[in-house]
Amino acid sequence: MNRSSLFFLGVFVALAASWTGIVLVNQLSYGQLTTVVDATEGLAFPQAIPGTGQQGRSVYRDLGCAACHTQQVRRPGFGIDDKRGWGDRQSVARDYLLEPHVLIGTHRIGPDLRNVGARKDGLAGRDGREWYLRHLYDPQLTSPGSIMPSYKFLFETRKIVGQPSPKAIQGLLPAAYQPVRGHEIVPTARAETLVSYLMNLKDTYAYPESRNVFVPKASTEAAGQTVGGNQP
Amino acid sequence: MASLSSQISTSRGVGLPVASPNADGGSIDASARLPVLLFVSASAGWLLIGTVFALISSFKLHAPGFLGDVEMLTFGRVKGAESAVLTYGWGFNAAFALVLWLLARLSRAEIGKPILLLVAGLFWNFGVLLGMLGILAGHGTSLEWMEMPGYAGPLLFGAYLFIGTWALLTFRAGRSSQVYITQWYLLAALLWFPWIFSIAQIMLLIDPARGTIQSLVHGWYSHGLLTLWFGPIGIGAIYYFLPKLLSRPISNYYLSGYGFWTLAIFGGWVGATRLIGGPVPAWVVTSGIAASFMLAVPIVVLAVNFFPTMIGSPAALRRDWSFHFIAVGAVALVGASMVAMVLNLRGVASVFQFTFLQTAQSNLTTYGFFSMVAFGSLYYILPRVTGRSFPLPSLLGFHFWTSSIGCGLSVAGLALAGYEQGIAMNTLPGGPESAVVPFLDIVQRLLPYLFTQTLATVVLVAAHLAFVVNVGWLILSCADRTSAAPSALRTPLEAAAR
Repeated sequence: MNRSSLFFLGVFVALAASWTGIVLVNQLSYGQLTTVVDATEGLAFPQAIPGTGQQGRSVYRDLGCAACHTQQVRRPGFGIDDKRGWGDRQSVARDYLLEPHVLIGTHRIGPDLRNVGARKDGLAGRDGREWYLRHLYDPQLTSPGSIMPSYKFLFETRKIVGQPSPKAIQGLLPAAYQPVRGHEIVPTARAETLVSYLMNLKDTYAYPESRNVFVPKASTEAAGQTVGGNQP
Repeated sequence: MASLSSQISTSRGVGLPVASPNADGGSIDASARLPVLLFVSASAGWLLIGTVFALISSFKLHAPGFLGDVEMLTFGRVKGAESAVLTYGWGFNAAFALVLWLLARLSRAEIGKPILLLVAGLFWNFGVLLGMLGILAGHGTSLEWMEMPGYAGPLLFGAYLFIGTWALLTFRAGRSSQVYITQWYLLAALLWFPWIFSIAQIMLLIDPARGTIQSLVHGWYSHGLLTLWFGPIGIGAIYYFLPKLLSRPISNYYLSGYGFWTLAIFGGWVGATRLIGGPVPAWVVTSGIAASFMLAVPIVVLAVNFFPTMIGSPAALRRDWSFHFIAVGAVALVGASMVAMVLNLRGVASVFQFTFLQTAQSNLTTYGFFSMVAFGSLYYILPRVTGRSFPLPSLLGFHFWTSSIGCGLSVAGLALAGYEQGIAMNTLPGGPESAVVPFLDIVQRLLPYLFTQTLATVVLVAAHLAFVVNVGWLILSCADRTSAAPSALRTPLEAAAR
């Protein structure tokens, strides 16, 4: 074996090591993770989100929302994700089991969205969608000073023909946003699916592995409460 | 094909000295001219397009209404297109030009059938174009540094296999008895990239793995792109050009092999640090952090190789603009790696993960290190493969200063922004019992820093225009009179003196 074959062998082995450690071993071990069947509830978790939400995920992906939003909550005591209300418990691998494309993100230019559905449950308006629709139409309406762009292009301003649409949203908007008389603003199908996706972003079930968390002493008390409150 | 295969069959492997009467610098440069000029033209074009995307995305961050009604140019898509174009358009084309020329020169081999490389190069760039349009049309993957839709992947992979194989064959056909450290780095990168790229394409896009295995693969790939592809190529170029430009050997050269092997062993593992605190097994993350710390070894080796070489050189030689670019690149490499080491510690990551401090570190690596080294190298290579000097030598200095200032401003602004962002977002500045800083307040505090990013990008637009004008003019003028023989080569310094 001459020196150049030794060199190429070394180069191969070097990368093979990290490939084995990071990709292969994990694929063979926790790549086989399955859902948890909860006998008392008679359900398997995580649960699949409805079809419209699935479609909304691809809208989320195609608009590049992950450029600014993460979808991973860090454990109590590691950062302050819990105190920000981004999630009572840390995200665990099982949460993402049914997602065809995992978009946990790398930047928090905007807030984490892993539990946005749970967060906005209380203030999302009558049918639970108003906050999302206003937020997407113009984030300044719901979050003044935000640098999130408006997604008006997911809405259609059109002439009212016959009966006004029950989906029209101009009633939710202030005077400056009102369309010309005889027109209405209606969310497109993509906007509706995106809202459905966001509403379904909530990891509320506590898995066995998400209950016991190491928490540094300083914040044990506060974190203990939030984790405890999350037991099913 | 005939000439190439005959070259291969007569080559004597790496270890045997074979005199090479006819493969002098001139004929090697002539054989590299066509592919180098194609890759450089393409990289320059993509650099300009990518910078325009960068300007739009940067402007949108403090003026979100700008071009707000155009779905194609919504922030998430422009940001994706920017990253894809700058990485796979500018970065890869420049890397291909460097690898081919350096391997041909160092191995003393002419590049056989360069016209075939031209075809492969066109395929690569068609793939990038398709990918960019795909992102703008909404087919992107939303995965940082592999934003291009799945259908661009096979095209890029096929083109790469051809280009990479050609580069390896050029090395194989070489008549040089010596294997220099630059060749180690380049050959390793050529073999590593197709591996990480194909695994990432398969496990993320073609047949996605289950759950957060995807995140691990993505971290492994996107970090590998730096430590296993751009890093080795940039480092290899520095190892070649420093002695060349300064007419002195690399200081402490005997250490360079240790640097290479430690980077090879630990470089691949560092990707796991992208998932600190994330929903993946903690031991993987821990091994990534350990590996990130172990990268101190190659970094120290590079520092004791590069810095004494640079400092001890005669002042007259250090005035060369190529040297300026490469020196900044070497300093940025060492600096960015040390910053990364600190940012990857768990305690630090709990505060500064996901902030602009990470972006600052990444810009310092991709621009401050790789792009600067690529600019400096191309300014050296181009006059040699074309046999002409740059038409506007004064622009070289302008490019150097605008690039350095633009990059410095961007990195400094982002670092300050990230520091403030991390403290406000991930800690309780008022003490453990205080309330969190409202998110929208943090956004308001970031606005001045985000504005400096637009300023920095405007400076970079000027820098890149200078690069494109000079390089474009040079290439066009040589297309005009193709008969000119590559002779009477002047160094950029001499050219600049005229």
